[in-house]
Amino acid sequence: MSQSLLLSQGKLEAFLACRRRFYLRSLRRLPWPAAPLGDESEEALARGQQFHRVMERHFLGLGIAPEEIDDGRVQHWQRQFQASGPAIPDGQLLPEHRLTVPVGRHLLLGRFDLLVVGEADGRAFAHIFDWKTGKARREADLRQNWQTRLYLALLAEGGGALRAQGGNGRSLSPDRVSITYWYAAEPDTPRTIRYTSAWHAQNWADIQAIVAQIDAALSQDNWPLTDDWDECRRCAYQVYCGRQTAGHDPLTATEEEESDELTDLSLEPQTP
Amino acid sequence: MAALTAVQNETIAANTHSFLLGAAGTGKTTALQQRLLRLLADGEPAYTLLVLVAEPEHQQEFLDAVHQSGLGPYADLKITTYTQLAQEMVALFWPLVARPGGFIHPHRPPTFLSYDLAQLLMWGIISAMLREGAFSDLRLRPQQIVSQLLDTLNRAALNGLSLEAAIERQIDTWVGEAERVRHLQDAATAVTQFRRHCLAHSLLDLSLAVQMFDTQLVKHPEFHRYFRERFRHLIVDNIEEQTPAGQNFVTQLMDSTQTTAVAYDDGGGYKRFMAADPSGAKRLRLNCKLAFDFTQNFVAAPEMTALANLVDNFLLHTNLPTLGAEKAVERVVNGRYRRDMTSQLAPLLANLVDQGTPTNQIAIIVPYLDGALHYLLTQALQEAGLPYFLLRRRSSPREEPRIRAWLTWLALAYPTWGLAPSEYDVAEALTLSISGLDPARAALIAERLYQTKGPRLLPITELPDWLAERIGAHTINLVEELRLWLEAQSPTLPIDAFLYNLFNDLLAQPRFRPEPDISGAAVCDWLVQSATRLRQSAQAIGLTTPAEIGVTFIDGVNQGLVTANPPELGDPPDPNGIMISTIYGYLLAGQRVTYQVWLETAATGWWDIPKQPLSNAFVLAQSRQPILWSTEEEFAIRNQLLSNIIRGLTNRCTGRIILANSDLDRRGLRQEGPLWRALQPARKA
Repeated sequence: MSQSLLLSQGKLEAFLACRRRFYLRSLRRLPWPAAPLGDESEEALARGQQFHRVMERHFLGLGIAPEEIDDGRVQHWQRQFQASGPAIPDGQLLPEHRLTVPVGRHLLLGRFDLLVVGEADGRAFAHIFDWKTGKARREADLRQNWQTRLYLALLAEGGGALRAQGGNGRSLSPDRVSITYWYAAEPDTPRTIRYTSAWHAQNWADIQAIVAQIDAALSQDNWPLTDDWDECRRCAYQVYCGRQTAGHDPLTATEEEESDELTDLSLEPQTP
Repeated sequence: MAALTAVQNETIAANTHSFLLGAAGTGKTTALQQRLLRLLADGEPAYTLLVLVAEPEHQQEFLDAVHQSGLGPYADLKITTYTQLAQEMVALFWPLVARPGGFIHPHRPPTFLSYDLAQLLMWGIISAMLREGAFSDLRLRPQQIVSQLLDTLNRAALNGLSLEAAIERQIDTWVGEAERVRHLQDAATAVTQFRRHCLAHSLLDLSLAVQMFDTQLVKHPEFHRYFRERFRHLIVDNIEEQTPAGQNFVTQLMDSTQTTAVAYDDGGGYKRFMAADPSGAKRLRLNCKLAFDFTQNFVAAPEMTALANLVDNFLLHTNLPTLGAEKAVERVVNGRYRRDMTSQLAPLLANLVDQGTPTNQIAIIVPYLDGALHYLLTQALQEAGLPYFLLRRRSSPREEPRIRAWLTWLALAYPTWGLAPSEYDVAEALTLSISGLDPARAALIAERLYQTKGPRLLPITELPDWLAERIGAHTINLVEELRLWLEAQSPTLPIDAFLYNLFNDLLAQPRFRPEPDISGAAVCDWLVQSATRLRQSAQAIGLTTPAEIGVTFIDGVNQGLVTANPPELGDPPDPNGIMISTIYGYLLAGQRVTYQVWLETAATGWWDIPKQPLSNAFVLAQSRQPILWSTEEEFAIRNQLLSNIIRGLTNRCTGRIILANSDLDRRGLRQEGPLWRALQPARKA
């Protein structure tokens, strides 16, 4: 196999969790029914998506009043954000922004809830904001999280592409890149993580190493099953892989369901 | 990549609005892709570029060009189609459009109706009308009525017409039997009810999404500000496939972009059934400071042009040069029956492959691939050892046995829904559910254990000993396990959860299926996703109980109303095989090949337009004057469309054409359609 892959946080995590799952889902695209979410998870997911949409509109300058929001919980989050939201630095506001950065023959992809780019003290900076409507996590956990690591690395490597006037391809200094997680459950205590050059050197090397492992797996066509059967408890391919004795975990939705596909379900009829 | 021509280089470098005009195969798309790369290389942030393509499948070509260019990182490059953009923007700017657009609960977030959900909603509306005698004497299946009513809604919106104006046009321009006017009035009632329901429940089908975008959003100052601040450069490929609504958007956007490059495929406009307006698109040339004529065809040889001219001269009474047209025809394959045609064609293609033509350089193009022709053709190709694939496989989910089987178990698990599968369905479901159970023994089990009254499966103790022995203890126990599992299902379990559990907890287990059932999984995955979509929108489309949802789902699949994104059935396609495609599928894919087979060349299908008494695509075209619809006009349109088809096909053929025909059609009637007659001089030579 010699294809170029578009690698998101979810795909990297899938590869690290189980290479067979990565192969079946992202390369072979083998359809296998996944368990539908329960009502509670589905509602939580829909609310989370609605809140992200509200925030996107807010940062586009649409000025939506909380009372115009139909869902009481989302309305409450919006009021909390207005009262206790994190400080947003001066700069260009880019809500729901995607950044694609080549790594070897593949591409890394990140999608930011809000990205602020600008200049402070004569130097360019980029600050990511991520809205969370689920359970709050500790900063130490977030620092290890692949979302944090990938997003910061993407900006350090490819952040120049965000800037007007010929910035394409230039990187940003890692110490000018940061990410803030704002939890609706703990609105007064946003977690801000600042990137550093030393961290980036190690982090980027780790990412490159994973991509090299993907390349090696591609060239050898070697996709072993994980040894961690707990992973199988949440996997749609459990029966396909003969791991049904692993049992099931109740399914919960991630706040942002990833979609790397170009097309969503069509509203159009088929061509004659 | 081949060296760029002077006109391509000028297009790439242009710093103003430019219009690229030329036939297919003249390098316009390449020029647009290179222009995109030039803008990025000059330092334009990708975020400021908008690329509009005609078909979702064309997005990847532009992305591939960027990825292969080595230009490095890029951010938020927007490559999309008009309808995708309309949907996305209406969702984002919903608070700006909901109230003025007439939605009764403007604070309620919008729900977009996929095509199958729109069909189910319309089906619910016309079911009640049919019971009261609406559409009586109309010789259409209910599914056809539903799709034509949705066509009217979509065509009205895409043509920038109000629903009322569209209805009026259809009625006012009709000259024929009076019955039709009554049917059109029934249609008006149905589409009006559908629209009212959508406005009351914040539902948006394609028509309402487009109408909101075109009439509310595109002219809204807030939206203008967003676009003006974001997009500085616009690239539009295949503008001839854009609708009046799409063209309106491009025109408005051009007022604020620094540069725009619009490519027009002369002779295109294949999506006229979806309101494409090629003549309106051509007028965009007047909005551009520069116009580039692409005349050098990189694909088609002169004899191909001569062959297209030959068809034009016959259909349109032109007098274009046809010298050498016969050289474009490699062979004429002719048999009395369709079987003769396919059995002669396959060895001919095998011979071409033996002589060095790659199989992916051959396309078989057919106006309509019915089940029998599909079987004959694919059998012949298989016998000749030729790999093939169907472009845009239009599989009908209800024709897939596993779909029928899984829905049979759904109906049996919930007997109070009142859906009793036939004994044959149960036998088929048993065969597909239990590995190694042959149809004969499955039929015996169904005969003894299935009762349509109930409906229910009886315990295996009801089987006589001799039969139990014949079937085998292992199989018998699995039948009993299945029965008990079905009985144990909770009446409140959602249908998508039922289908997921049925497959994963039972039918995919090794005791039922020792090897992974990949086809069964694809089918179940599709069923689960379709059922989830229905469940999530059920309340909004008027379904309140699990029984209503379940019955609607099973009926919807059986009636051919639940059809979106059907699963790939059968063996996986071989992308390097011979392509089999319908005419428009091939033309819109834009692929070039060395050899094209024009299958059933004498069939009138090449010249036919869909029979749609409830929705006339041509009457609803915005640019058409509201004059009476006549047979002469219909004939002129058919001729023009066939002329465009042939021009499009020949422009995508680098080698030669094979004409393959059978004297008799599937009903045994002699075929001698206009294309066959038009090609007579080339056939004889």
